[in-house]
Amino acid sequence: MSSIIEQIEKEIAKLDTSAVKTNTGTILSVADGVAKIEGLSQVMYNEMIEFPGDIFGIALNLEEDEVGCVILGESTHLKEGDECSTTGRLLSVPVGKALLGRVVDALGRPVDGKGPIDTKEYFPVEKIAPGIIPRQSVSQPVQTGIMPIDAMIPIGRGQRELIIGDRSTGKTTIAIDTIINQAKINRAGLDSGDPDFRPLYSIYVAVGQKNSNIARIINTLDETGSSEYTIIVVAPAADNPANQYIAPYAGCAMGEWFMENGMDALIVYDDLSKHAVAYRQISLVLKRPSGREAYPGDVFYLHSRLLERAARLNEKNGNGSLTALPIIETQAGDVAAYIPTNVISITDGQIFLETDLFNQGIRPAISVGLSVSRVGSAAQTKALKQVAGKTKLELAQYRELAAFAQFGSDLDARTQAQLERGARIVEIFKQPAFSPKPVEVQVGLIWAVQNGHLDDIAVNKMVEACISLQEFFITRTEDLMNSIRTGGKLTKDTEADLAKALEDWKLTFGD
Amino acid sequence: MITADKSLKGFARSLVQLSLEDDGQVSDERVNAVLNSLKAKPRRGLKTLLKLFLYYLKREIRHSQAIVEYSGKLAPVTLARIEKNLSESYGRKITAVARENPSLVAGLRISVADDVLDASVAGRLENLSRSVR
Repeated sequence: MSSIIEQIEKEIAKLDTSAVKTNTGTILSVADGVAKIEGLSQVMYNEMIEFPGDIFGIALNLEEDEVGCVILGESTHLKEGDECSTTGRLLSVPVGKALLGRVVDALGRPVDGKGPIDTKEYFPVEKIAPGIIPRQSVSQPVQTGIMPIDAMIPIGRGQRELIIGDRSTGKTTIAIDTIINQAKINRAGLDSGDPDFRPLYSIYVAVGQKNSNIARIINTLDETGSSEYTIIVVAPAADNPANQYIAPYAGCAMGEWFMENGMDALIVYDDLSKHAVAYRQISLVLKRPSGREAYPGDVFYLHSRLLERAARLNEKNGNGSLTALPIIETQAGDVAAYIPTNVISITDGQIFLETDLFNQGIRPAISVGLSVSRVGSAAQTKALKQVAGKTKLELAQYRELAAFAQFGSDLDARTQAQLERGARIVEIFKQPAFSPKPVEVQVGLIWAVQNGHLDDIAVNKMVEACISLQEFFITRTEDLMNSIRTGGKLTKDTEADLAKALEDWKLTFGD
Repeated sequence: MITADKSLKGFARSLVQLSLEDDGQVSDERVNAVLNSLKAKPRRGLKTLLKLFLYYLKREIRHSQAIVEYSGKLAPVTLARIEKNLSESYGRKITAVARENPSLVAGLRISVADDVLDASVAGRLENLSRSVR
């Protein structure tokens, strides 16, 4: 009791006794989560407006006679004539390591029932992206643990790599796999006590997703022990469009904190199609002029200003990075639609997922021909680059040959061999969800198939063989795997060891 | 807000400018003159124009008027001093109108257009409750 009294006394002592000046306004109308306000002559763009009942809004339209303000939260009890006031604060969210392992809403308030978040630092949700001078090129890898990505479409820290595809093609799974793999690497790296180890923290932003899907993702992250390195920002489909519009920026502000403090972070925006739809709704209700597909004219800027905030800072600026994995859902594989083309042009590459491949059982259903990473190859580990350098070309040639081979059976031996090799590469790239592969195992598997060590295994047995070989590599060849992980290019000795290990494995496989 | 095109809004605003004295105060005489001239030469959309004129005129009056809410007693000298200080701070003549408001408990709350200066006990208690929330 006495402590409460002391606390109140302290608060009273802190209170300024001079008159408080506020700029107020009166609600003219409230509709669809947007309030039109008369007054607020000193309001700033994007300033937080306080409404009765602890409700906040953001001033988005500053007009001659009125202010258009989107309300963040429940607006049903607001009515015409209610007074509101400016706060002098731009919309900010809590940031810091205390948010790791927590699920927060678009304003950074906890929604996981684990109590308040102990953080004093706040970052504005809207911030100008780092300029040219503080940046440096991408040079460190982000290991997704997904073989086709790490081998053919490598991602670097600070890169923006779009994940694009139709519904139910495994877009979110790729993002979650990446988060799970980061947690695994972080745990191993921090346990090793390596002073040069740089953990990669993850932020998953769910925009317009079903609550059941979000709950499933949270469970997956919890079960795999990844949540302790992850912040989840949720603005589900049931949330108002203002929160869905703000959520990616809020998540980005949380990621920027890591970047600006010399750490590395990865942010997943799941997904920006729904984000654009939420922004379109707000813009239409605010009576902003609409353009193509009824999106407002600044829908490109909406995403470009968000994705430009992902960067790799140079040594002088702390050497931190923020990697962005935005997700876009296409309709019937149409990558030439408005929002997909916008985001493709902003990002540094895309991972395109195809429904046909997914239905054929090729999962992850990555279309090698349409997927590209424009800057990531500079960050790829040397060993992986050495073994996987030609894989993309070989796979593309295989797809072409396979299409022709359907029409005739008389194939020369070389073509037959190419088809056999291609089919095996396709098989080793198959990977179940939520089971990322360590980079050294990836190197081992690709080296084995490239050097013909798996040619005597039937194509339909390849998946089984890969699982067995992966297990063999992890449990029986620990030293070899360590040397691949820590060393640069594969040496003759390492290759000899790999060949020996494969011979040993073959004795055990198929028993 | 009344819906009207930009030109009509602009015209209504210029009518308000014509209704002001040199010191920026709304003059009854000038307002009457504006209304008489509108009556003499009626134009399309007169009703909307008059509504807009009234809206902007009210806003202008609010800008040059300070509502001084108080609880307890307010000496005429204090009111005059408030008027003088506000006029100096806003750079235009402000007239103060006193209104008793017992819910303030003690102190003053002054509103000039959309600016509110709160020096009341009720306001401070509200601030206190917010800071310990």
